[in-house]
Amino acid sequence: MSAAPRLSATGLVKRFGGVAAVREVSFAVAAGETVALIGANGAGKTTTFNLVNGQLLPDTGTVALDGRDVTRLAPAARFHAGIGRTFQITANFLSMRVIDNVLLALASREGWAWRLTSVFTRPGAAEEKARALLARVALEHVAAEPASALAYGDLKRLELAVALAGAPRVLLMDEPTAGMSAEERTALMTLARETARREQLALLFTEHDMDVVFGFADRILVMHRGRLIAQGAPEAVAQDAIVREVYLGAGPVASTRGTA
Amino acid sequence: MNAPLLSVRDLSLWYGRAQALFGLVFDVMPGEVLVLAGRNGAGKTSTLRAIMGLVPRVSGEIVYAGRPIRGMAPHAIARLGVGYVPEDRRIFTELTVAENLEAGRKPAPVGSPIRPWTIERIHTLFPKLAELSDRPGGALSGGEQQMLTLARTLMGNPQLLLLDEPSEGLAPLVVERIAETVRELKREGLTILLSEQNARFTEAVADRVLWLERGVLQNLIDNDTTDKNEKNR
Amino acid sequence: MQDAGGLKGKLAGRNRRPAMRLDMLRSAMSAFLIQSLNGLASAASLFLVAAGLTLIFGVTRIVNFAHGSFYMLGVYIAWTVAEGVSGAGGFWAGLAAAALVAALVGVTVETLILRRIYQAPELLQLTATFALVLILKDVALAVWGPEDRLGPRAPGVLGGAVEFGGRAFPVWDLCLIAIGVAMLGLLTWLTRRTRFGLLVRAATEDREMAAALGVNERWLFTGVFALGSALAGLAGALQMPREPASLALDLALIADVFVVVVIGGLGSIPGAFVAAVLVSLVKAWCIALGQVSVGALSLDLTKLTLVAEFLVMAAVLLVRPNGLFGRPLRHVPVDREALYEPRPAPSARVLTGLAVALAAVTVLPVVLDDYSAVLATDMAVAALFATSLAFIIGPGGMGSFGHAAYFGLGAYGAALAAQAGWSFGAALAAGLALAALAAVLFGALSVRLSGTYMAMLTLAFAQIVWSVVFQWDAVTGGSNGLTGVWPPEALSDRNRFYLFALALCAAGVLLLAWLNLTPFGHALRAVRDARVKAEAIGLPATRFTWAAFTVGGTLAGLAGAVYAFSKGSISPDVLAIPRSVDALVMVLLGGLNTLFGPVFGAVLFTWLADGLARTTEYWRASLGIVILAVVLSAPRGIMGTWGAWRARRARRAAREGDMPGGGR
Repeated sequence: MSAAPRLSATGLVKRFGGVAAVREVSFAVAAGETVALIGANGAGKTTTFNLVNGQLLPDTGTVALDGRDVTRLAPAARFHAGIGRTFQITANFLSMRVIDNVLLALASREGWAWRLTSVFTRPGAAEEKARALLARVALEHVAAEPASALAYGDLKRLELAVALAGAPRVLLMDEPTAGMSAEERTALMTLARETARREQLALLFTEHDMDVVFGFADRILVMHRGRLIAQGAPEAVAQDAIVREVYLGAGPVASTRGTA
Repeated sequence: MNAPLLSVRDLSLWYGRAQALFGLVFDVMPGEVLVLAGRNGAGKTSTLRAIMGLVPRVSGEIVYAGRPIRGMAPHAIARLGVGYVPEDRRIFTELTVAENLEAGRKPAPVGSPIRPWTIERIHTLFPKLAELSDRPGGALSGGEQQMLTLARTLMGNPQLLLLDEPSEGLAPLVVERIAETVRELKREGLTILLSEQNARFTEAVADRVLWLERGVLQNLIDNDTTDKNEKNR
Repeated sequence: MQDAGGLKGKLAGRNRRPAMRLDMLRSAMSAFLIQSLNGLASAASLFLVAAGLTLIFGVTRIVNFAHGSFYMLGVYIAWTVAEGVSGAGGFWAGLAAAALVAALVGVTVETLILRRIYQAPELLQLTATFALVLILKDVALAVWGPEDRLGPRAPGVLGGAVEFGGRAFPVWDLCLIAIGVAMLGLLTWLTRRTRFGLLVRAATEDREMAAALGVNERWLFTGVFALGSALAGLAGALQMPREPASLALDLALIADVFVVVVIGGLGSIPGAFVAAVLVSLVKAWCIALGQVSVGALSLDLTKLTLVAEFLVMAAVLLVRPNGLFGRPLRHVPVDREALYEPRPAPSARVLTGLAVALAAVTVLPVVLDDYSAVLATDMAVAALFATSLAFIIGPGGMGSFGHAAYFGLGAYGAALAAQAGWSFGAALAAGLALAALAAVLFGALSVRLSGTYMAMLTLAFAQIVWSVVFQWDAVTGGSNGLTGVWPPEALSDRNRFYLFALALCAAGVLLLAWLNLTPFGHALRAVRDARVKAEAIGLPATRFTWAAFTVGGTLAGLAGAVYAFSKGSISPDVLAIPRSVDALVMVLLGGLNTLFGPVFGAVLFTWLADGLARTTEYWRASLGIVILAVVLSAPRGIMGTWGAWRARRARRAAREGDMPGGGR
């Protein structure tokens, strides 16, 4: 056990043209911890994710994994370092079968994605592993279907299976349950949180549904116009005056079960 | 009983070989706020886009103000008085706020009961937009863009407003404000068909709710049963 | 390009001074000034054409290859009117007529053809507009004949000259500069200050949203097309006093215009202006400076003129991947149905079919005559050429519009090695190596760009290679090319050479088919399907696309090397634009997303082109019409359309099978 947190971000700043999308954002996520990052669209959540997984390079600031500075690594290298993510707008390989999506992540992790001497879709140990991962997200029955034929919620679950195939130490999930039914949300978030605890991975997710946020997060980070304006336990964040003023509000539309 | 402003009969829709809507049947009565509820991928956006003429492979009947509009070009449908506000706002990012509004401007169709919208009236409804007039659309925040996209469509003087997930991605605080605006527009006499996942927003604005699941209309739920047959408010 | 370059070369000869001695500095300075003015005058026409193209692209997202043809028509029409109507009136009437006729042709083309393919993939659109180039060229050939037509000077004072530092400079060229600036002002006013312009800008950004707001897309598109085409026609007419009307003007100009539009940023009118000035000045200065000596090193800059603009473009795109004033293009949604392409290991049935097909093509030409062996060799070469391009476009998901460069370098590499006395095998390897080297180099620079920009940069690289080969007489034989490239005695028999070519090309095609099945092929498609996602699961996207580009380019080089030996002689035509388009047409004919569609397309195209060339003088137009027919009726290619039809039938049969259970 090292003393450094599993994931730490320090002083992240990112500007687009003249606009600062992320300003001086610092936070840490411990191994086994589930943390929610909330805020309105445009608050800087997705930019923060992109900085953590390397899609964007910060203007200043650092990202560290178990104390190791990964700020300058490209996304592909960060995957191999142990950072996995799912996307807000589902991104899957739609020209292939469902199982191929998982197999590709395994191929990448196990180092055979460049192989030229074998057929990709042959049965073997990798396929066993891929099926097991699909079973975890309850998609085993559609393994051989075209990924393009999956319903929206299933694509979200496929994303999780693909991310888990990388055996990540840090998992970023961008709006993992958007568009799912209440039962599906609970099932998916329960699985994600259990995985985080069992495998000691740091789980950071964004979410607009306050029921999911307050129901599953150990801790909550709140962003507003690029800044982290509050962080702490759910109860504390729900009572925070500034958060109520700029984000949660107090009206009937905004009120949530978590705060009630 | 009034004749419906929009009448949808047996609406089906395909993307390539995948069918997304299965024989939807529903009416939108003049002056009501009808909410299409359902999850992502249930077919809400597809339904609104089909009405607007933005999807090529559609079957069934869509009748607006007594005229069949299925198969008409989107601009022709818009000119009959149907206004469309897309889910992802689709602000013209390189045009200023004022230019965005100008791009949406068109005269009301003949005989429209709605008071014509002017820049002044838009600025009264959304005072923030007046301050932002010369700002490029791309530089607005999510909430401001949602106001602009709505205002832009209003500039075309629609009688029926199709609103796709107006609360999507907004802070709960801003969602509240959008809900007020929807109620305000209803008072102005607009008929509104909106899609939504946010149950609380739906509760706050809906006269009636339709539930869509995997492209099939489930059942008709009235938001307020006492309100059922008297929509003369 | 040949003609334009030649003309500028002559101008350069007139104005150049052999050395820059101190006492001649003043004279050199004025020469420099004259060349700069000359450059600005060229910039004016270039800007007008580019502004039209960029306007049309902005709204319709179509890169119109035929835009250069509108310009060419403009020159011819202005010439015809000026010949027919005497005096100054004829000259001015010519300008008006050129703009008007070009607008009419543009509107006709838009309403009859392009309107049907606005939703099609961009390479298909490019190919369709290239078909129009072929047709319009033959129309011009039929009407005006093959000779160049030199028009009258501008009337009155405008036809005279003024003196700058003792040198005469045409007044008309000064007028052109003024017209260029005035048109920039006019177009800026139109787009910034009028409602039409506002709607054009709105539609440029999001045409579907504009339509939903009540903007009549069709009228807007047609209007923009009319305006853009009129600008091209007018630009052509304005050039009449400067250069003769000729059939080569279309492609010569369009390459320049693509470069200008891309440098400026697709869709940007100010960008087109700045880029036109930049490109024209750089070219003019290359001429003005002439021979430059730095120490012992002597460089003839005039030779750079054909390449200069492409170098500028490559430099700009490396720093600004969307051009000087361009914005990233809005992503166009894709047809999900067309996407799914499972790649299971081939079944016994497929393998048997393949074996039978190979056996058949091995035997067939041997039992036929000499001519059919030659044609069959061409088909084998074309099949590998097309399949190598399909690999880049299909699984690679990239747009290459300069694939001829690798084919041509393969041919030249092999031919040069053979002439240097290398053995047959070593010469083939040399061709392959040269193509591979170019693909590695150009690929590294171009695979980073997206969509249309990548297509244009690959085109630029191909044009650079073409220019170098065309001008480097001492090594490449210039426009005459290289001759006497023959295979060894053992393969001199046509049938035997065919079998040899077939073996090599089939091996290449099968290698590419195999790559599709491997983990590499799947990872490559993953990058194409969802680039950001692929990176997030540890697949370095650029390295995969670069590798794929290199593989495609190298195998095109193999095809080129075999081609050189099959013909015995080669010319710069092997790496010119039309050859790149040939490969695209073959791919689109056969169908992109089918494993052997490109082979089928290559065979069909070669047979068709051969047949047409032997039966009609107007084979270009005939070919163009065939291309248009295919693009409009079977946008997924013949194999792709057939596959979709079969799948539909199978589904219908399946549905009828479970009818008793009832559907939804």
